[in-house]
Amino acid sequence: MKIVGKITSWLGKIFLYFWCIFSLFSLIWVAISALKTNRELFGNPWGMAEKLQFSNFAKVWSSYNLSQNFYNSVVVVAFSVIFILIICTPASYVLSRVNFRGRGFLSFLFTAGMGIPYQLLLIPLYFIMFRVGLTNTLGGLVIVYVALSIPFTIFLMLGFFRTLPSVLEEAALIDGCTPIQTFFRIMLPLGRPAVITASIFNFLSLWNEFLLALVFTNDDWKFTLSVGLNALQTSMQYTGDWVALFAGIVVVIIPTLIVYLLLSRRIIEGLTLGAVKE
Amino acid sequence: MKSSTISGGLKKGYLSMVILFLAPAFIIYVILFLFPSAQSFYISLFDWSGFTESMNFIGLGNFRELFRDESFWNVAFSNSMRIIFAGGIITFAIAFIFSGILSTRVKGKRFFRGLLFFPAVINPVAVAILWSFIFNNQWGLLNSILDGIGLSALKQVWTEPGKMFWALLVSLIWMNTGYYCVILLAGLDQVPETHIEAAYLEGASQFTIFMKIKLPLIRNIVGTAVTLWCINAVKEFVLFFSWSGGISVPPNDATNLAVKMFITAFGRRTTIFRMGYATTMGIVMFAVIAITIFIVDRIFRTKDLEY
Repeated sequence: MKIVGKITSWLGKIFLYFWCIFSLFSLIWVAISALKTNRELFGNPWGMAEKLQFSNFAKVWSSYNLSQNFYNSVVVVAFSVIFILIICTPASYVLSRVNFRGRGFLSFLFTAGMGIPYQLLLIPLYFIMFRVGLTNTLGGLVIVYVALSIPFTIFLMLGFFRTLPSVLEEAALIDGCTPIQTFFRIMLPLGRPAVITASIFNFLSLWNEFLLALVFTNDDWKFTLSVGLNALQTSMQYTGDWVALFAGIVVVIIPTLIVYLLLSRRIIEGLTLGAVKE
Repeated sequence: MKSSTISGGLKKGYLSMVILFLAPAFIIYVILFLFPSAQSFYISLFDWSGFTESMNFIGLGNFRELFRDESFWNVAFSNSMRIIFAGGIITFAIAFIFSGILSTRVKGKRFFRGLLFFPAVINPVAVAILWSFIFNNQWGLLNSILDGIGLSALKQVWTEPGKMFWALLVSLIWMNTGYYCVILLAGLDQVPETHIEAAYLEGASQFTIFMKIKLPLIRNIVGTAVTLWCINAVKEFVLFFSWSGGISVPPNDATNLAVKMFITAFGRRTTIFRMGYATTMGIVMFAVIAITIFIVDRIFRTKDLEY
């Protein structure tokens, strides 16, 4: 038994190394390929470029519309995250700290939304937006993003606010603060980790979001990065310009990479917080 | 719980704050989330093209048609099932192995964890592009590696019907395994050191410790992770839809429940616009998730788990 165990963990370790090396390598490979010419790429996928083709990036940024897509993504995600925080933070605070009738029901109502796949509500939602003329607009997309992010964000923040002790509020009340002042002056600053975690999580999922963006934008100058990248891939079928496509991938991944390198620990901890807390 | 709430809830001053703070989230949630969800059930009873005013009430006609629709069951539904089960088993097998290794005191644990998790935050469209290039049979990386190590005989047209699904599944697994591994790892790390040390002192190997002590104790977390996997697997859309450029309708191998529903409603080059019918598919997806959550809960949740 012991030998089986030893071999298994040894093999497992090798597998782990292999997997990680592969992941690292594939990303580096994309970056290298983005700097080649198409002929170099197809001639020898493993070789290095003779001259670094930064022109691929210039090409994909200007003539392939990616800069517009990038701008759209930045605007949409920024506004979405801000609005999500504005409406979810006070709501989670009140749900977790103030004991009012119907609190449990409301909390359940909000977080149960996590079990509902957005495909269930996609079509009716589309037509609601259609009737108010908000389809094919970036503003409409922001509203949709905000609405669909509510369940998880409230779930995340609820869990956090519950861990704060109530003595602080009681002390603030004794000192003469109104409840609203208590929220803004004391609890909100304390709730910063939750706010930051929620922002990061929403940023990541919305930056990479595809289906909703595809449904709610139709003109290609309104596309976000995900949809734009996909459109790029489609057009590449005709032009065969794979290296530009890889340059596009690099452009799309870089913001995620930066955020991830700086904040990976917080991201992982925040995401597993909900799953692991019992 | 009691110590973290303000007692005497509806005291003067609190009511207005409660309403004020809850209102925006509640209103948006009800109008744009709960109401459309309920509306789905209503719309599924109609034959509707969405953009016209006329909706023909056909009762359960959509459901009856769906039951008989081969392209739905044989392709979309079965692909989704294959994703959930084959994909799930492989993903979790790998996740268990990796999290088991990383939960022992390995050097560079944070580095590995970070690297494993990263594919889950890359834009799925980019993942689809990368992997469809790897599997491309003319100039793809996989075939060129096989050439390089002398296994040219194993070269295939990976994107052939029948094989393409597995190529997609491989890339899906690559993308997601790290996420589930990290969840399991977080759970494993919570197992108290004392138990592990005691077993270690009695001569148990890391492997035995993992199988007999750690695994049983993280049962609840495994349940959560499996639930998350099932939900995400049913919702999976992007990777399949954007594989191979999607010039026209995605091929059968790249069609799962989510893709099928999207095509039925919004179409691609040939728009179909069968909203009532598509909504029915959405309900099936929801039902699959609900049933899965229920089953997983039964299997994995244990109530009294004391360390």
